[in-house]
Amino acid sequence: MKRVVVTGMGIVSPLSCNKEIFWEKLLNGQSAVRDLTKLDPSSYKGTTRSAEVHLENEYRNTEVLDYFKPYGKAVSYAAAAVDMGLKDAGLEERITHKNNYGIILGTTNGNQDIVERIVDEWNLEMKHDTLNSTAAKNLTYFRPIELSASIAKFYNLGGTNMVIPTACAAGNYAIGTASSMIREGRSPIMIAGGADPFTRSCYTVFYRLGAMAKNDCRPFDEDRTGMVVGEGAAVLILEELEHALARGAKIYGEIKGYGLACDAYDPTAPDPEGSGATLSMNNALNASNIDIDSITYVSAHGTGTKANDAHEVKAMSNVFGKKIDSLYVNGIKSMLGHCMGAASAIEGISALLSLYNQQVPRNYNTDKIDESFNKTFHIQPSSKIENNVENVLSNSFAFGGNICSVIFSKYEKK
Amino acid sequence: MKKNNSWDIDIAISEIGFNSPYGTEINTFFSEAEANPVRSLILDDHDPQEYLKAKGQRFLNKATLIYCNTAFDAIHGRNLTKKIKKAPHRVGLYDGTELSNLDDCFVFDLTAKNQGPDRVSPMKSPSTIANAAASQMAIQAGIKGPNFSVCAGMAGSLQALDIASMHLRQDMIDYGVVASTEIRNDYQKAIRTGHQNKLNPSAELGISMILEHLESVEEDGRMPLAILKKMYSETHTDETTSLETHLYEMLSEIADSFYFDTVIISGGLSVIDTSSFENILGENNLDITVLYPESTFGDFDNVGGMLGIAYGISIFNDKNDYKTDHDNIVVLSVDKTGTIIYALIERGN
Repeated sequence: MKRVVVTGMGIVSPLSCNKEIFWEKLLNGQSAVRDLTKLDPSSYKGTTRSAEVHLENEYRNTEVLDYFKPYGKAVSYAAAAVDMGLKDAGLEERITHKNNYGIILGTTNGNQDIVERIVDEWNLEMKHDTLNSTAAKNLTYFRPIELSASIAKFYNLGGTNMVIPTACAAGNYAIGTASSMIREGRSPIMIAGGADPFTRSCYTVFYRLGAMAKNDCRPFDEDRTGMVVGEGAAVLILEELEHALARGAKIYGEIKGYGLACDAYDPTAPDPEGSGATLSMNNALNASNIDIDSITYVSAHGTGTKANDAHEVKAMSNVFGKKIDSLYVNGIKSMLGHCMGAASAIEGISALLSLYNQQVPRNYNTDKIDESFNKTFHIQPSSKIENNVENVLSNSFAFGGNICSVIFSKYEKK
Repeated sequence: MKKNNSWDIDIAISEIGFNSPYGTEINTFFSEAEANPVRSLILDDHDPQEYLKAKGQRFLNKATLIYCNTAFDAIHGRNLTKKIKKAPHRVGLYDGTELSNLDDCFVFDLTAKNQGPDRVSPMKSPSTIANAAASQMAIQAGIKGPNFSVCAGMAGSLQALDIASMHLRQDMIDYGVVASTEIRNDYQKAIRTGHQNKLNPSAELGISMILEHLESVEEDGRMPLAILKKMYSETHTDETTSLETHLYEMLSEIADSFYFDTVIISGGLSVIDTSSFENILGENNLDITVLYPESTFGDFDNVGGMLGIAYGISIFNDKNDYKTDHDNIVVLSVDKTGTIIYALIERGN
């Protein structure tokens, strides 16, 4: 079986659009959660917080920015992340030779901002006339496939391209699927990750579900009040090990395996028993041939909502049994907000930087574990795991009960 | 170019589920939709067999309703209900989708903008995401294996088949329930206008297939409807070569390894200049017949690939005016973004 390693990463996140700065801020516990600016906050009752990206302030490649301007914001975010990822991997920025490199991107509804641009620009009312030809042409950019295919065209990626719309688990879905394709020998290099823009619809969904934090996002904390809507993109350059070694690539870590499962419970709420998450983590462990003792820590989905965190703890308890007592569980959405389809890909970058640098991000805003879990686990890393990061299990859960867990591992020559 | 992203497989297609304004029998659709011009593109009865639970249906969009109906249709046809109950985690659900949520996205945002966020129904939020259909089906049928929606434009349903067959090969599932739907509304029509797509739209429809290992079909004393022998996907990025020339080169490569005389282009016909394509095939003496079912039945869009496979099965089963004595047929879908996927299917009996 071919081994899959990560040789490059690109990130567009509310914390930073630079991988090194992102990591520094994450380790320092800096938060990107601010007052909402991309929407009129007066439309939303209560506290309005968000974690926004301002790409143009941090990313200067005008060739990329200009080319992708007609597309949805998520496409621009992902294209910038791919640009940074290819450079980081030491590959050509726009590949000139024929190749079968693929790209798989996950999203929630990546091009929803195209709908909103049309609604705003043509000032559409509930009942409105058929869209005129200009609006109709703009609407073609809504098609989800534009997210991966436009980037494949721009960077000349001749292999598979697809978009996986499995919402908040989509980044992990993309990473897992791309790793499967490399293992099958379809391609030596696959770009995988996720992207989502900040939209009125997304903000409204979580507002109406009563899922938004009153102030800060506090994963697993007894005083947690909900999540914060974020946005962004992140990609990993996945590479078949021998291919990476042959070109002397830097290796951040290895993708050992992943697990997929479904709650089959409710369109928006997770199964309180954690059935899907339990299956998914067990599937990832089995696929990776790793036992629970070898997991250094769990990079949790950890949205900070009552239901999500409770079901994730239940599932971790099902998988780790009594060993959950000594397990470190990390949740970085306290600093980044919930970046939707990009979230798990960003968490993948955090896991890989942790493995590569042998540093462990801490939890912020989590002061006391909710007693109603009836479980305890470590909310800060012990000295034992600092400088000893071997395997990180990264969870991602989505509406519809779509679940994917990925195991990122320290690269070891064998 | 290193050509190693094609892969040989032996996955059985063991059952088909279907629904359209012409009923739930796919060969009836092929015969009647050709003979009787479509009076309406709209599928009024999304669940004639009443497979779906009544509770909560009003919150589901049409694509979800049709998806669930056709998925149930194939599950019942293959007698999988007991197997799902016994091992729900060993069954996967796959949706080759693209614009199934477009109408919902507009309605949701129009409400949020014009009437305020407080007037938006949170119950409608799942339908704004393209994973709604497969997720709802998991809830309806209690299926806990991989739940995988995928978008690849007009090549979407073949992409879903490819993912499901990969999960079978990698022992993640024992059965893959793959479905895809096509619905009609004004926003979808606007996208067709925006693309200057001149093909007539097909009727609304849904199609599903059960994928499994050959051994499990045989264990149950059944014959596969067809066998997926090979799938391949790529992105045509070379602007110096026309899409038609590129497709010819691709078919030539397949012909080096497999005997076939029939290609079905289904999904993306609007992207191809068929006369130019036929000329290239003729000039290069590639002795194949290319069938274009969308020119008869209308633009299948993302459903095209699976409809193309079903069309191929109708040929294998002698339920089609077109005949071939070859055992293989190539089914090809193309998207205007350059996304190309083909499946090579083999006669199942």
